Amino acid sequence: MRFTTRREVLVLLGKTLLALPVALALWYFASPFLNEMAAHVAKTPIAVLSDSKVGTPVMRGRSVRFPITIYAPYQVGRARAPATTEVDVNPSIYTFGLALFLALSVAAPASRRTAPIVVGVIALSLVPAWGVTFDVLKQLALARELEPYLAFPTFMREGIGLAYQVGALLLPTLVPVALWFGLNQRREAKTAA
Amino acid sequence: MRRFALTFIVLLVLLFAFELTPPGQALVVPWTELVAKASAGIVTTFDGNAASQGKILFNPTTGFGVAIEAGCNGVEAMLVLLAGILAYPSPWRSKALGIAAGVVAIQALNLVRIVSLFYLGQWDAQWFEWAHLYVWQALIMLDALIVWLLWMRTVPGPALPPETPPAAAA
Repeated sequence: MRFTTRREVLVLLGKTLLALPVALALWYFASPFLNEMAAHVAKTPIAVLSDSKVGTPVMRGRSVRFPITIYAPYQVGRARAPATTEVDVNPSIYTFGLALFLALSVAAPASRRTAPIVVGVIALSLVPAWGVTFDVLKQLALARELEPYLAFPTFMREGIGLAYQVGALLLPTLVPVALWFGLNQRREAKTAA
Repeated sequence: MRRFALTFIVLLVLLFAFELTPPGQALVVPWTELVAKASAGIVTTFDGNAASQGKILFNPTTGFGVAIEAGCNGVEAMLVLLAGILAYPSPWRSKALGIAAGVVAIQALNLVRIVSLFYLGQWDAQWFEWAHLYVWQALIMLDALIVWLLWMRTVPGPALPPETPPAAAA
């Protein structure tokens, strides 16, 4: 999507700023559903990456609680009872990007189309699971009591740290902007062809 | 477009990973302290009730303080813009100008963010949280996008082939 004049860009900015409060209000009302969805999508990756059993996430206001059971690695002649823990995450900090995407989509005339908006909304309902997954894994990795159970190798700890930072600092705002730009750029390229 | 997207992602991952390494932190930590100092300077200009210590901006009278953590120093938005400008096919001079203008635009708005959060936090914790976690995050990325779109507008497009003269009538 290429804007030819400075005015076009500034109009986009102005309209986005006007639409953002409304989009944030919409997101706020939809966030219980979005949070629950992110939590349910995150359940399986958490279980796989931490090699544990993750129970059904429980919504507690704006946050979600994951009941997690971790089995100790097998050791000959030593049996250890599984560890159980509960991890709380606020998925809203990963889902709010939807508001930015909607505000941008409404602001630019070229992006006011149903199909890209639907695709973006679906993508932005799934992407927050990344943030939730690595938020939980980070909390598990930092819990000293769970060290003998998890035994994350160093590279995995580093990976969890990096993935958490990406999920917390980049994805929530970058993905909506990239989706808005990418989905409309694609259409423009098709139209030009 | 595909080439741009790939280059952008690779550059962003590299820049972001570098930011988290000790050499990266050796740049980011002093930068964050500078941001705290500048924010304290701005607040002091208006009402004189602010000081900074390291990455903390605080009110010496009430004791209220805000720590400028990762994500609040504007570095991530700068990295996104940097990757966007570097990945986009354009002359190096144009890239340099875009990066310089982008750094100024993002950090200027980031100072507004920190100062506003400093006042908001002293007024109401709930509004502070709402503005901190959601509103300002979106606005800073929007700032980066607008700078990038404005910059892209100035990048010279690909040269078009000269129009072929009409074939001479035989």
